[in-house]
Amino acid sequence: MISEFPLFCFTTLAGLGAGAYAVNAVFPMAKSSKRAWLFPFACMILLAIGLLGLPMHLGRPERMLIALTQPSAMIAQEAYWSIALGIVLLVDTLLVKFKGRAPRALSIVGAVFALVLMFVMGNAYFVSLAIPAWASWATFLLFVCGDFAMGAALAFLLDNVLSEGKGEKEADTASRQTMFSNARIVLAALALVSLAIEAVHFSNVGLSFAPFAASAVIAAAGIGAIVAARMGKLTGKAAVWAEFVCLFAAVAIARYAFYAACVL
Amino acid sequence: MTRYGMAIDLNRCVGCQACATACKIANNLPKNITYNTVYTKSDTFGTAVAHGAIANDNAGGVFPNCVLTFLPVQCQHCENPACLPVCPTGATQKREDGIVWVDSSLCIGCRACVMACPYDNVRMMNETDPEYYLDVVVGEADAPVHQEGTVEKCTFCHNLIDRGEVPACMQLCLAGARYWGDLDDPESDVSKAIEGRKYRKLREGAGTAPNVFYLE
Amino acid sequence: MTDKAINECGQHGFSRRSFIKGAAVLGAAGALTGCSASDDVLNAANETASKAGQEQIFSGACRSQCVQGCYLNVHVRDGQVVRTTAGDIAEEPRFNRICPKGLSHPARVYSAERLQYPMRRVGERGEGKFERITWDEAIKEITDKWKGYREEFGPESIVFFLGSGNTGLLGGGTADGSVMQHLQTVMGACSLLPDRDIAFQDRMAKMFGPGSAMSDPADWCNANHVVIWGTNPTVSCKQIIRFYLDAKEAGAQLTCIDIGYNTNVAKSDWFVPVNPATDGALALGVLREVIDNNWQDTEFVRAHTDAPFLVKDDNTFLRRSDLGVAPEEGPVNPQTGKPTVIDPELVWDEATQSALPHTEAEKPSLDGVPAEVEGFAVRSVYSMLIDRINEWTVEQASEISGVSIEDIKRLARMYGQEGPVTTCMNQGLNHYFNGIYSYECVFALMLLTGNIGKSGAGLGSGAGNFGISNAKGCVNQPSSTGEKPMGPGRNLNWTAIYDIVHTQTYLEKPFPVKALYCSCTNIVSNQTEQNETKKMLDEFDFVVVQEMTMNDTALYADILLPACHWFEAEDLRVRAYNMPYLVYNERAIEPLYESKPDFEVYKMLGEAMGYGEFFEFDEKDYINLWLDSPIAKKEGITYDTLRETKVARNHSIPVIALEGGKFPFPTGRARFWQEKIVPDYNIGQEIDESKEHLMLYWEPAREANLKAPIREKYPFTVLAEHMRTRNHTQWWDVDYMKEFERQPIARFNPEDAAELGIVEGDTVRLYNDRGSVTLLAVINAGQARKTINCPRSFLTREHIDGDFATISFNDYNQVSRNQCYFDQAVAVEKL
Repeated sequence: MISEFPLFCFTTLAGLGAGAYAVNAVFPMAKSSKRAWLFPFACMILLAIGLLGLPMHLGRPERMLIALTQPSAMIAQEAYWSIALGIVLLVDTLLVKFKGRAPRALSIVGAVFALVLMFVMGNAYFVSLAIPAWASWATFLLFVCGDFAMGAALAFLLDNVLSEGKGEKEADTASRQTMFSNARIVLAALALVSLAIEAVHFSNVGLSFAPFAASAVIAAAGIGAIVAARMGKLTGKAAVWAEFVCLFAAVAIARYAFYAACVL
Repeated sequence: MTRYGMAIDLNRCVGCQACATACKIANNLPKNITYNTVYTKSDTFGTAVAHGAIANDNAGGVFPNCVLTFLPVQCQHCENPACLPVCPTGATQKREDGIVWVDSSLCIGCRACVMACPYDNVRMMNETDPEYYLDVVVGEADAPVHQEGTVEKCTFCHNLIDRGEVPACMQLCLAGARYWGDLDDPESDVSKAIEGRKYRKLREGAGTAPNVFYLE
Repeated sequence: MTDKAINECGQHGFSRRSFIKGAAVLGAAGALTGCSASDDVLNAANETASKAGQEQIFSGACRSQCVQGCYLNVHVRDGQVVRTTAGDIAEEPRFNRICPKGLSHPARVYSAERLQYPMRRVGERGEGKFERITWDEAIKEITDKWKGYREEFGPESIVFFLGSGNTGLLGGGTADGSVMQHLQTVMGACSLLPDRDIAFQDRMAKMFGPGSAMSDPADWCNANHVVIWGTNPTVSCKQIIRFYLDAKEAGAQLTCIDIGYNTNVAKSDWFVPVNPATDGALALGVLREVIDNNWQDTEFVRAHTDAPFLVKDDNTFLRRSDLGVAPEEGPVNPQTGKPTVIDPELVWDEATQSALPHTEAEKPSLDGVPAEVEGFAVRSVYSMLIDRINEWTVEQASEISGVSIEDIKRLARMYGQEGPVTTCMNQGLNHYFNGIYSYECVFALMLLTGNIGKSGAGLGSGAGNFGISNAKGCVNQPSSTGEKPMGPGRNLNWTAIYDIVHTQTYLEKPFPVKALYCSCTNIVSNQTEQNETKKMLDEFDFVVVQEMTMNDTALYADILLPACHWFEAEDLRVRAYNMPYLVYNERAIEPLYESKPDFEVYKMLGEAMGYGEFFEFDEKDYINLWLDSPIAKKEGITYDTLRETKVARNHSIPVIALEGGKFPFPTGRARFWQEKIVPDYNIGQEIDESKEHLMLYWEPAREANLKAPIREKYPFTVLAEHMRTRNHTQWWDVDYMKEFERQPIARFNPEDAAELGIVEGDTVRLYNDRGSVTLLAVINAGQARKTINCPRSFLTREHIDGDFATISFNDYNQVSRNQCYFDQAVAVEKL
């Protein structure tokens, strides 16, 4: 178990939730009206579980609240933006559950919070001069592109899982589905590029690039799953799950290797 | 404005470890906490038994053209500390006189400062309840408090300075290699030591503007 | 170790921890460290913080035999020693000093390994099984036994080992007037000599005269060259390292002649690597180049050495009495109580072409002496020196020493043309079998090039010491009824002791030795050939050890007495090699547990032996008696003044030793020649006197010699380094120091390691016929090939297996009683 396992959990899970929510805000796909609230709820749960990792990371968790007092500190920023996103997610969940739908503006606001959160999480490591593997702009790409790629795959997965009971008028058009699919391919490809860049950076600081190479391969497999689904070679649940599993695994492995570079 | 800093003459340091010992005792440091490490530098970055090496004082190079120098490193009390902006609780602070210190009572042990600081091993975390070599407390009565889950580092012995005394590592360097004082006062020991000397600082490219001058 | 040993014998369960807790209630010790609850910690911290800066400061004298003799401030808070700092000698801050050892005294005071009460052995010797007894029981048992031995076998059946681990007057063992030495003298007991570090002192005394030949380090700044020859000041005398660096800053070129690239070399301008123990050969090669170029300081040699003296066939000097003039009587010699004999040595005066006393000749001849003078076949010492030097070529010296011909010539130019040269030496060369020869060749180089007795030239090493004051008076003081002590028993050489104990004879006569008393020492770890030491201890009838901790010698005691820490008793630090000051040590805290000041113990033993009237003095009396000497009187130093000033200097130590070439011999001249060979010791050994008369002789060491046949079997020599954080085995129980020097290691040259298949951290075994030690290997490019450096100062239990002290041999040069700590060859096994 690496020393920074709690942080790994936090940024991976919270990033996953943030990414999924942000993607969904830009590409809101049809969901069953009865279960649509589970989407923001799932994002919130991921954020919450990730946040549970934070106290585990601290030497003195009982003093955690003092961490909100220094706005310039990255950890404080992570806390602020997590709370902000969490509030949006909660409101979204409640509105969808009890009012049937939430205003688009709320989703956009949440997406912005989510994006800022992704950047802030990356920035916390960018300033870590003690760890050359982290103190590079490659870190931003790794975090943001990774969050979007796996978030998009999760959004697609949840859309499918929550699609039972979708009515005729709620179903997505084929062109919309294609657009979403294209978007996910692009995001996954960006993630793949970020993994390649990180591999080069790690190699430059004398660490192994192997985990990132492995992740890139798995991410490519994820892209392959999307393409295969488009071409009809892979169908139904298998396609959906294959895409998510590949992209989540790719990002998680890369993140784990990233955190493993911390030898403090 | 007072700006406390240090000068360490690398031509004179012989790696005797007196400054490291003085710090350990004066601050009642627990077993795994070191504020001040005197590294052996042969042809490597520098090694120390305190940080896992088997032995100190081994030379590098090829006999008889060898390399053997010593590098004492503690918190650099930077002008632009990397640790300051990343501390979420304000535990890490910089005094008006330049000393960077950690208020233990505010520290939540997130180690952002440890990760942000470009100088290895100057900040250390009490991972567990501090263990000591002795059953009795040693050192100054107002030595830093050592608590599980908090980060500590060199305090520039501000407890001693504030009562007109001398930092522990500076009380007596056997080879006459260590100086401290007000960098903004041209008459201070440290300013006079630096004057006219070639010097370097650690990791200047990091932009932290450390206040420890290594004289060469 | 101690608690475990006690508990094994079903003891009362009195532990150190409970003692300290109890003492805290009585206000005698400080607070325990904080517990885990953060508020408790912060509250406790705030409470203590309010006492900041209010510690009581006592004067402390750090006094192990690293002999730097530092003056310390001992900080005490709530009756507990919490810190030490360097004391300030306002008059001369350059002698303010402290080192990691001095700084970690709190850890020695509160060490878990301190002996807490007297103990009696219940297991085998060396097993460490003891039971607790009272002081009364201990003293009675010891003195009953001693009185028994005294009655049956005589007072010499009891042997004292006067240890040097404490250089205080009252508590120490060293022969500087210590109370232990007084006890030995009163009891008529024998003294078992450490026989260490003899060669250097011996050659200084024989060639430069009694008294100090060392210049004050302030004068090193006047040198053109400072040569660090076979010494390791950055580790073993680190308090004077500043003086070397100051000299360098003042423009002296620093040269280091050593077998390996160490910290001294790293600070030097020029490194001259030399094969182990071949420094004498190097000096002879340098001398050859010097005389070939006529670079010797002829006038100095003529005026200030015995080189012009004329030696007859019987190896004695031609004297005025040989010409028929009767010797005169001069003033009484205070040492012997007899009048001095005035019978001057003759020289051949070139001005008058006649033999004249050296004090009258205008120009004593060096190399123009006729073969016969006044009917005697004579040779000048000088001509013999030249002959000896001409036996050597630079090429030969180069081949033996490993120093290039070019470098030998450069050294010759340095000494011959680029003076003044200050030559800094210490005990390094001493630790080989050929120690005395190494020193005499280097000293001859200094004398022949006139690099001694003037500013910037001479012998560097120390910074003077106060002197022995009235040591004799203390040791020999009569009883309160005016009775004189019976006088000490014989000195027994370390190399002879095993045979004496084993056979109970000495020089073929019966010599019963029954009891051994050791104080302030760890002979099991610090003498050579440990296996023999252990055998010797096993065969003594009765062994008493007085110690602070359960070290390796304590394990062999029949009765073990707990001595208190230095800061727990009043004392005067007398011996130091690099400090011209006395340091008065105040009692800072009461002795912990049931430990007692050594001073008190010596008195208790003396009283119980029936010699109470010889021990009626208190601390003040004894110190004042020691100070009853011309030098102390001149400086106005008494016990009372010392309590005020804490330190006191001898201001009569010249800055330039032997200035003007005035050597403290009756002739006023330095010596190259010994008329009569008087060995340091006599165990019936054979002596080849032809090696000894002219003090410019060289032969290789025994095992360090690269050409010794034993090197085929045991290819590596081992140099037993000092440690920065220990003085011999003292400080072994200070765990803080393990953050710098953690465990026994062996440093290997990288190529040697590669050939042996060893990498950093491998476990290796060094062994030879005498012993074996298993430790960790580390790679040090500073090692010359076929040399290994091992820090010496670890106890047996700190080694993975074996002990480092087993591999050295216990044997002496034919005339010099000197143990050889570096002259050992081993083979290496990777485990």
